[in-house]
Amino acid sequence: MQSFWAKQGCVIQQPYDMEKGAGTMSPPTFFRVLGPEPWNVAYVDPVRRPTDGRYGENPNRLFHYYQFQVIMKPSPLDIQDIYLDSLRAIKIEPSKFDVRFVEDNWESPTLGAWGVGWEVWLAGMEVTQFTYFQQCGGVEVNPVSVELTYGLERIAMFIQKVDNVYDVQWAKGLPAGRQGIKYGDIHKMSEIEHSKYNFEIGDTGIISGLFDLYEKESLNMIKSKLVLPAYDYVLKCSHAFNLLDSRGAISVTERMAYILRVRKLARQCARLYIEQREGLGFPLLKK
Amino acid sequence: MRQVIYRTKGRTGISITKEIAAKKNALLEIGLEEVPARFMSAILADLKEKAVKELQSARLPFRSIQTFGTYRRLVLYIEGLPAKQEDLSKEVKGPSREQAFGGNSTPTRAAEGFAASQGIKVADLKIKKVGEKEFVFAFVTEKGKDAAVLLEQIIPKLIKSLYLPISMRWGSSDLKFIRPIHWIFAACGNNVLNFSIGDIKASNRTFGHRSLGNKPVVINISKGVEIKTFVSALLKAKVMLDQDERMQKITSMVSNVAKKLGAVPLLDRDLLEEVNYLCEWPVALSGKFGKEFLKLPKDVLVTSMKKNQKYFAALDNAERLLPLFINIADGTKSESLKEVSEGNERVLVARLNDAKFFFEEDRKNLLADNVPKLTKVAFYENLGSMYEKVERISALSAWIAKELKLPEAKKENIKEISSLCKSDLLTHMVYEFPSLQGVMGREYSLLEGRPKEIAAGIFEHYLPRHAEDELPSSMEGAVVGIADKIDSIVGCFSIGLIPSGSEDPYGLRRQAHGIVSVLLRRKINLALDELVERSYKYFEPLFLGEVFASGKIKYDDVQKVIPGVLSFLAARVKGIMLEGKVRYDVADAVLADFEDVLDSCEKAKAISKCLKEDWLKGIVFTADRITRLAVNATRGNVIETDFVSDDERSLNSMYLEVNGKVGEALEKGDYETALKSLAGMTKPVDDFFVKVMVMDKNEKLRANRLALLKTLERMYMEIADFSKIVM
Repeated sequence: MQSFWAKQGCVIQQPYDMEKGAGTMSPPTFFRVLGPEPWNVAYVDPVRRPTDGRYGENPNRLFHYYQFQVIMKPSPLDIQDIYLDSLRAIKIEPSKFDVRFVEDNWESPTLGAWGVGWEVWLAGMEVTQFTYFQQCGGVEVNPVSVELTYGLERIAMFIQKVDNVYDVQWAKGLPAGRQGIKYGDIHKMSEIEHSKYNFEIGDTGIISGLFDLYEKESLNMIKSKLVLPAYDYVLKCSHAFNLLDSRGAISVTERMAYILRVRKLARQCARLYIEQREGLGFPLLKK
Repeated sequence: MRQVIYRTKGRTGISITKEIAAKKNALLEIGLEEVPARFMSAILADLKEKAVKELQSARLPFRSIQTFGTYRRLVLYIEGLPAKQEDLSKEVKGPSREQAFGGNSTPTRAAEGFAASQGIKVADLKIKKVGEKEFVFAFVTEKGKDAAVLLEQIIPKLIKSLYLPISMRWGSSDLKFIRPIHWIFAACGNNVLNFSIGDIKASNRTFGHRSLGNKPVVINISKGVEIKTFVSALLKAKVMLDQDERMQKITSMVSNVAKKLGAVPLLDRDLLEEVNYLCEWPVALSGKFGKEFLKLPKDVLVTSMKKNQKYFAALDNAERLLPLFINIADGTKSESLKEVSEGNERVLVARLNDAKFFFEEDRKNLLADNVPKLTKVAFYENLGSMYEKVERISALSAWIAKELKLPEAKKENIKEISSLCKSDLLTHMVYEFPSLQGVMGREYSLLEGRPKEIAAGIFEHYLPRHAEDELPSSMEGAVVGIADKIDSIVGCFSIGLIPSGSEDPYGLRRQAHGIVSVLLRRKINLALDELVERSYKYFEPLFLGEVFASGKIKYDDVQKVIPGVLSFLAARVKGIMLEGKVRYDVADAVLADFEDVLDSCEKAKAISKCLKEDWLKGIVFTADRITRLAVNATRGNVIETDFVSDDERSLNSMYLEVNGKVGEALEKGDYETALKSLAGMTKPVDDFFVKVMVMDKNEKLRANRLALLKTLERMYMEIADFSKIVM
């Protein structure tokens, strides 16, 4: 998959080293889709969604999982065909699996971002989110980026024809005949512990205190015009909010207030980023 | 400003024959990335409507116009266009005769200028009289333009003005459309139309099914473009263009597959419509799931299949759900069907496992445990929490039950239903599938061992959920439903959230319609003015609370809210009356003083039945005469000692007699008898007007006579405002 997208002109980046609810939130997407500079990138990103934790008991839902993220800016007109070719590159012939593009518009209220697109189905299984960004950080994007987010566990389950994510073969047994390492061997314990932490044990007082601190630090960094550090603290805020939310620790009105606080920071970061790139003369325009 | 009168040339017999020989067809296809299924019908309807308007204003008559579509294409076909637009004769008014020719017949500068501006000679100017004055006129004929040339202007305009429920941009283009445009096929007669949308140039090339080749298909239009050729070329390229044919095909495919499995499919209309716009080349397949999932409520399984996977569920002959599904795949080849079906099964099992998880989690609590947590669920913006709403619904339902003099057992049921009616909002299942609200309340209640009446009432209080939906089968469900709906309406009206035009974000019209339908179906008499006043009263603690204390959010006084809500409800009643063929004026007459749905409808029925009777005409004329004079009344009660003639006294005693009869009939709800009794008033009133001068000079006499008329008017108004009826 990486070499396929590298051939399409994508920079291959490595995962961003912070908690995030989606690969979209990582700087190579959140910032790079802003402003006029062209940008093509692909990277794997681990994501954390506290509310989706199931104590390792559900065969399909995970607190922590992996996304493969692709951004192409501007979106090429033949991106659907390129995407289908990317499936062929991993030996999935889409036409054999009743490939569908089913409407699914995407919105992230915390990031002030939205786009339109589809979830892509293979034999009824959603394997990719396909989105044309329209707005990010409260800013209309121009040119438009297309974002492809592959669910790596789903695709592995699809290829290996297993019904339970924990049964996905991660590494072959060596020497041959041995069981090898499965997804569950690597991740099950973390699913159990984090579910317990997210739903039961985490100290909501501490977490909401952390939210306040992160917010304060982010604002300080915005004042100092350090946009990337400021944004790191936005990610921290967002994760703290997700933790509180999964605990059901916040009421509807409080929830909205938290979302607005994160969005405000994200907007300021987005504007600051564009300002700074403009100050640099949008260097990627020349490349 | 110049007046221009347009006139199209009348056709002669000869030119008609010529025109038919020259008739052309035009075809437009917009090729797109997958358009959301839910918008397709509306977009196609809009395409047709706007095309008709454009063609009319371009003076291009046509024989027929049709639209076709799949998720990847919008097609417009216009049949029988003339080769050319009709010629247009224009009559342009110029300066007055004096200005144009002075005193004599020498043309002035004004005449020359006007003729030049119209491109004709001064000698060709005509004089015409307009009113008293004479003016100079130019008669100009504009030659009709070529139809193809006009379409090249019309179609780009049409595409850009199309209704876009969601619009998007893509790439570096500034264009906005529902989804990125990939190709445009556009032809008129044997010409490819010459225009572009963004970078896309129109051509005579379309594309086949994406998965089955995605090949360009060039359509030969040398003998003129035809929908038949286009459709069959697409069929060869594995695209069924005609949505109606495709729908039929899908329906029969689903039924056939089910039949082979000994099952009866649930052919859900919404699902069929959606599936129809998710495929260009339908292929049916089936799959199964483990019997253990049949322990979940049937609605949960059907909803999960429908909403998550777009699969059809199927029943056995005893209407029990079978552990299988039918899926319409798009262009899957037969050698791949087995693999797709297995994939479908795996996904569905995963979905059902989710549903099972939600179900088991939900079952760990009792519904009643959820009620206090409703404080965390917002009702409409600024209208407090769902918990507060439930409290209001409970109080209001109890009041309605008392008004309707329901037996104690039912009152008890209503109490329980209203306290639990929103408790399923906090279940995982309803969070996942909002359309199951009420359904889960019913299912979990039954599992908790509550009586059937309670479970049914919880579900039924939401009915009707849409225009074609069923109504509550029990009195309990009906009462709680009325309380719930009027609470939403009164709350929204109080803070100014009043539906206007097509804007009705909270679905208040649907709820009002629901109230009215339920009252009629169950033949419930309920004083709506009192109901609204009650409902408002239960909002008062909220209005006096902290949300409204700052004054930033305003609420209206009860005296403003009551008439607002009543006329909102009356409008729904009127709609129902008109559907039932009640005359417009009769509906207005009985709704003039509206407070009870059932009464108003019964009155309308009685009046409609007797409209042709002379005595009813008599009532209408008499009522009208009385009303016209009664406006002058200064008081509403007669003073019997002020009567000076027997004519006055006899009218008064006649009134007392008739009023008694009318009142008696009204009490029984027998409106026909009430009307007939009222007819007894016609002659006495006529006699009175002949013999008595109402507007007497003597103020005392006059006031008393007017008061008598006012009293009579009140009696007529008990039934209807007859002055609104047109005879």
